[in-house]
Amino acid sequence: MSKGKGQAGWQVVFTTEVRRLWLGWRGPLLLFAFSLFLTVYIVLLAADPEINVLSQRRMIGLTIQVTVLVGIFAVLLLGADSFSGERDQRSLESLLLTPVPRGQLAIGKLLAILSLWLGMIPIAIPYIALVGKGTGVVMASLLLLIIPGTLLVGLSAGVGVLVSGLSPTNVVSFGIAFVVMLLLAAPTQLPGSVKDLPGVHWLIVANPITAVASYQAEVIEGGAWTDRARLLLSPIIALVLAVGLGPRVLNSRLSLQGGVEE
Amino acid sequence: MNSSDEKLRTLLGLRVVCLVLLGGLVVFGVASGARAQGSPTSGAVTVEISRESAALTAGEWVEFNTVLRNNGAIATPPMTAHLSIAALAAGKHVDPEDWSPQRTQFLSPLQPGESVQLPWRLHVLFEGAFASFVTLVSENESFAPVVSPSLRVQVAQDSILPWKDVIPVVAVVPLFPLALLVITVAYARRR
Amino acid sequence: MVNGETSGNHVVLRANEIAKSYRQLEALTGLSFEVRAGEIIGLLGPNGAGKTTAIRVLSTILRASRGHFTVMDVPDSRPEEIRALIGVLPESNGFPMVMSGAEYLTYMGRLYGQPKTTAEAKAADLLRLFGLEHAARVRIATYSRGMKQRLATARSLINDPKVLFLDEPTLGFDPKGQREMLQAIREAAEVNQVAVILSSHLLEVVEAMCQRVLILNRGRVVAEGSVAEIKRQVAVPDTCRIQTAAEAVPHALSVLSSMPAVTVERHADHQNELIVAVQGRLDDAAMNAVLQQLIQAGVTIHAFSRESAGLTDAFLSMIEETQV
Repeated sequence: MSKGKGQAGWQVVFTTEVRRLWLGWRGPLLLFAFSLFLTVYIVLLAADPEINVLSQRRMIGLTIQVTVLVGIFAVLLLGADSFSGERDQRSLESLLLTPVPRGQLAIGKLLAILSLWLGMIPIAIPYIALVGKGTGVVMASLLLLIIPGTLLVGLSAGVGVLVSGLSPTNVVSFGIAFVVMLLLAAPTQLPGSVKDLPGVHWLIVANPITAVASYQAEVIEGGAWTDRARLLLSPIIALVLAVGLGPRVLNSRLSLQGGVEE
Repeated sequence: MNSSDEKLRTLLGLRVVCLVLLGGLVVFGVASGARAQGSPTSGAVTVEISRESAALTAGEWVEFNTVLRNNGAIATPPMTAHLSIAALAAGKHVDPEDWSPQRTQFLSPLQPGESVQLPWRLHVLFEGAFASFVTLVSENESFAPVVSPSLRVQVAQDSILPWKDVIPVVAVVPLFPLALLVITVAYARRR
Repeated sequence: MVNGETSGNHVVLRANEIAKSYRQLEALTGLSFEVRAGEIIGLLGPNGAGKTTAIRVLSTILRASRGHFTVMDVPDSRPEEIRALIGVLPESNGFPMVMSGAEYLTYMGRLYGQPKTTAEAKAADLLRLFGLEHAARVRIATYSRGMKQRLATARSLINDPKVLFLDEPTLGFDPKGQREMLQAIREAAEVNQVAVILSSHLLEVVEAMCQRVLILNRGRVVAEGSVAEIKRQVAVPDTCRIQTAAEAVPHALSVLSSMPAVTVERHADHQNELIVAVQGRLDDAAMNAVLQQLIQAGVTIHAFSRESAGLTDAFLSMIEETQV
């Protein structure tokens, strides 16, 4: 066998998966669906006669939140399919037969999935600029989309890939991953009065999705970036766990059957 | 120290306290009496407003001043000037906190003939007809509230998302991922 | 660490008491054998015998419950190094359907550490070897079953393995394709000194290709050795078929029945044929003795032929024994 000077396994997987995603129509389709979603969202807002200046900042906050949530679920879709899809397609065995460590396979797939988010950001920019026109917070909104948004999207990708690696089938993988992220995302819809209850407040802070949503809303409404920066702790920790520990777990647990004791 | 000395000391102390209290009451009484005797009626204080009407678009700010003048012969008590905003049509609700960052200003007593100018800012948030006015009140119960003339504000709604801005975005942006999708599907079919 | 180049006698794979259990089920137990460079070993057994489990354990897809093995002296505790040395044609083959054959093989080559240009060249060579150069740029989704099997076999050779595991390699091939596949395997073994472990339901394939055979049943090795040794183990005799006149058959039957160590019976479908078996080997001397006896008894022989006992017979006999 030629040792050569080939790339690291994760790089090979990453470049190939990016190619499959973007030349294999899934990426463009998700991007198009995302643009249509934002289009419908903006049209509904524009047609709403109740919109006023006060709520424009809240509208921007909501637009960012919606964009990030769609990004989370789109990336989760790809992540949940990453290994279990190969398992269903029976192409996982040939991948596991290569000398590439399982953890590197996971990292390569995870990074490729995040390229979808990189494609979604430029699509979202014109919509956010439109909603934020005249408020003076468009740049801040974009930074809030990119920085905390990427934390959550990265977390979602990590969760999806991890669950996919451990699930025996695609159906189980999608089911578990979506339930997990849905449970995390649902509290963003709680009314403000409930959110302020003592116990609930700490849950909001500990939940990465609600913590980021709170942080984004506060900065949009005029708060300083550093005022409630501790709200970003839980998403950072969760991201490190998902992206750092996830591949390590899969390094020893990724198997042909998935979820079955070896 | 024997018990007689203690009693003497206590009595002396009590006398001092009483004298102080009495003195204070006298001073207070005199002073109050002066105020009461010299307190101008609120009619001696006038409030003028720098503008009486404004036509704005939702989201804009309007600035105006009120001039408080003591036309009386004696100084006014300390006063509080408070800005109010009221919607003139049923169904509209104004949350004053959202419309003005500073709605209360505290004033020192105005000497006879003295005037003071108070600046105010209003952030009109949604369409409708509104009236804004300043009320002067005082801790002195005999000082009846004084109300300025109102500033009539007519606010027109400027659409946050005008269709002329929305349509280009929603028509053009999806074309890019659509083009990418068409290209990649065509590329895949060729293989 | 990996040894240097192997000679034809060098042991490239050693398995010692390999066992694999799933909770209460022992899918494999006591698997011990060695394979030398250039050798072709057959794995036989009925469905569920443990052949695929054995291949998956030895190719590091599954972890053994007990036992150890080495490939080129690399222990099973270093599975990534072992994977770099082996090639596997699994029983079930799946592919990323949107990729072309060339893209897929290049991808696989790169996963084995090859630079892109090397992997592309290797992929092109293998596609040519397996008759897929015309479909190199076409999506795998359009490949026939046979083409996919060829592609999978090509993939198993992308890293120039020292040990090749082939699970049902002729599946999906027409007879011509089977012949070409087997020829390619033979060349890999002989020319490149690749050790081949071949599992197939087609006993004639195993018989034709393999120097040694392991017969598995219910997770255990029930027989091991060369084809001839296995046949001897179950004492499945060679036979010969003798054609004579229909009216002479009863006389021929009685003549041969009286010979020691000879069993004879009438062919079920051809009434003028006798099937004669000799205990031990039906060598030339035994064959001549049978024919002479018949001629001396006045039986006219129209035709005769000698038939070696097949591996099929040995296999079935072995399986029946172990299932009792």
